[in-house]
Amino acid sequence: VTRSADMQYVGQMHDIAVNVPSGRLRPADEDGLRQAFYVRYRELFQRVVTRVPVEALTWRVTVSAPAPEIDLRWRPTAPAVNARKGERPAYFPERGFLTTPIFDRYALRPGEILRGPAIVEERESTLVVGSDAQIRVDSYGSLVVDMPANQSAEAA
Amino acid sequence: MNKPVSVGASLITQVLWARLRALMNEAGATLRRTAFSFPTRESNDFAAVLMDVNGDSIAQSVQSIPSFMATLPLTTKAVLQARTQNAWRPGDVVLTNDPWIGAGHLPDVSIVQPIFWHDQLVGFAGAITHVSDVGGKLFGGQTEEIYEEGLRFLPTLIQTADGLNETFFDVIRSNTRVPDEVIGDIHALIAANDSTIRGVGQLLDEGELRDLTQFGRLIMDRSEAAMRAAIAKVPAGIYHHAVYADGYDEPIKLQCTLHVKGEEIVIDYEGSSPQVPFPLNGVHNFTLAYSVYPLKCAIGPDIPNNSGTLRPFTVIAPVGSVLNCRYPAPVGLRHINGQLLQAALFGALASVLPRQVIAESGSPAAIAVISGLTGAKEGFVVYLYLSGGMGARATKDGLSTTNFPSTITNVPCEVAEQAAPIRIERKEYRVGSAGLGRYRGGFGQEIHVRNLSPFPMTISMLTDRHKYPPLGLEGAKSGATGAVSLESGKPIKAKGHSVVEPGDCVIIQTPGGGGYGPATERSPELIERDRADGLGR
Repeated sequence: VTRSADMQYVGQMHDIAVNVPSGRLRPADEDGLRQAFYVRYRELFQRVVTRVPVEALTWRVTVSAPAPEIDLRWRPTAPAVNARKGERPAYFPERGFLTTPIFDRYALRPGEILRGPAIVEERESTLVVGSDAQIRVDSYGSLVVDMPANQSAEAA
Repeated sequence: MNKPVSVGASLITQVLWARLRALMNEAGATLRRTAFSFPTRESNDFAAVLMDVNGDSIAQSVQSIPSFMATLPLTTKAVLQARTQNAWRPGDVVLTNDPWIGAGHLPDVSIVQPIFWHDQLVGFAGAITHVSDVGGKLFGGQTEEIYEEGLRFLPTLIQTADGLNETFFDVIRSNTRVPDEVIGDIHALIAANDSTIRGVGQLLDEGELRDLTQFGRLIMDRSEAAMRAAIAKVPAGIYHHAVYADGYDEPIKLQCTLHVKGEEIVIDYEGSSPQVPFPLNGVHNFTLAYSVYPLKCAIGPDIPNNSGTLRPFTVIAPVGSVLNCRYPAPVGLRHINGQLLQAALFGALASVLPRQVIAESGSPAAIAVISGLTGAKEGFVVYLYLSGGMGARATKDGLSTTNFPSTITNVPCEVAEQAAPIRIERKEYRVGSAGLGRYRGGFGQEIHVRNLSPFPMTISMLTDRHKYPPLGLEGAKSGATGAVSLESGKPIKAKGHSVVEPGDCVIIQTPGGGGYGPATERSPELIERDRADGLGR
């Protein structure tokens, strides 16, 4: 974990990055920070300006760790249970209210096939599929909706 | 120049030249990054120049104002008259803002420092910028003598190896409106020169460059030869042209006569108006700079800027004229006539080099300096540089809101609003301002600046071309004239100080560039392009 502040003299337009010590910053650290600015400024420009206040515009924390190995293939996180959570009436413009099964996205398994009408719920989104369409769960866990060839989209 | 140069030697020359340019760009970047004032940090109103032991320039930062490149060597030569080569010690820093020695008005502060290598003087580093304030009347005020325009320092030693000349800094601190900014900029100038000195030392240490003066002579001789060859292509002859500036009470005439003879050009301003009791007077350094640079743009744009490039030119401006005034004439707004010289020079050349000159530009850039209070004590000074449109070229439209021949850039709205209690409510191309032609001029701009503070603000306007529009070339139309007004309808001066009451709004319109060629010959595609961009009429 490294911490830095973008600092400049009040009135300047360009700031420079100054390292900030670890730990909780207290008012007593102000002078140390100012001195660190002077040191860095002198390194860059060979001189410092006295009597002009110094300001910090941006505080940065950089946390680094070994890069994790990322596998994009989806693996089910929940134990294999029935994905069907229940049912509720849902309105479809062509057919009116239909009793529609509700599925838990996280419980679906690759290879599963669901027939519409269906509602698939997940944390970020909800998929509503019309009665003539079908859902396939592919090997990455993506939901592929196949629509009937001669009909306009019903899935929302 | 007649010596045969081997391929190896020429390659090394090229490499050294590239390194010199890089180290001057670094000096320029140091200046910009450590500067406090608007003109320097936002608008590139500065230059960093490397000179030999005689004060002749070898290289400069790319982001430099053309006039400064020419004046810094002249300033250094003047400094050397008072302080000869053997009087310098490592660590010395000499400052001057004398208009006659420097760049023509007091806010332009030049700093010269010696470059020593193994206890031997090898050259000079110079840097110049426009500081926010030098005391006296707020920049742009109507003055009758130089004394009203602020502090004037003949070459003054402000730092030695032993430390700062605190007396000097105390004088600045107690006589300027924004002392931290001004002193900060002086430090920035020194930092830039220190950067140059360090870079040159490195080059010498590495043994690639044995002697700055000899290498400098090579660069200058080559630039001079290239400039002479370029001038030789201009048909010999005597060409006249005059342009007029608005002036204060009556117009100012700028009359030029170009004598092109062989490889040299003499520029004579005989017939120009005598100096005036207003701050529009120029000094010879400045007139020279603003004569040679535009000519170089037209005749030899690729040739580097250095003292060698200047040699084939002679500039004659009658002493006591508005282009070469006598001390203690007021000079604060001298850039207004200076930037108009280009129009006189190009007008003179238009008959023989019609494709190498451009139509008249909406220059000088309008400058608005706004000063006031943010609270009981805290003051501010904000500069707005507002470019007009450039004149059209023989082959293309003019550039919009671009200053020529100076290279000052516009100050971003957000930056100005952060520094002062103002809101910029509108800033846009001024549709209809461009002079029509086969190629149209560049567009000027319109900007609305409102006073949000509970206090009246002083606005100092430095504008021209409210009476004389930028003329077109080859049968094209003129660009629109500039204008300035207050929303409340209260009076505001084109030049000088006016008051903006709380809540009132200043409206500034900058001139558009003149067109090139008959408007009837403009291609339908270009007309349609402007229309699609919302710029057509």
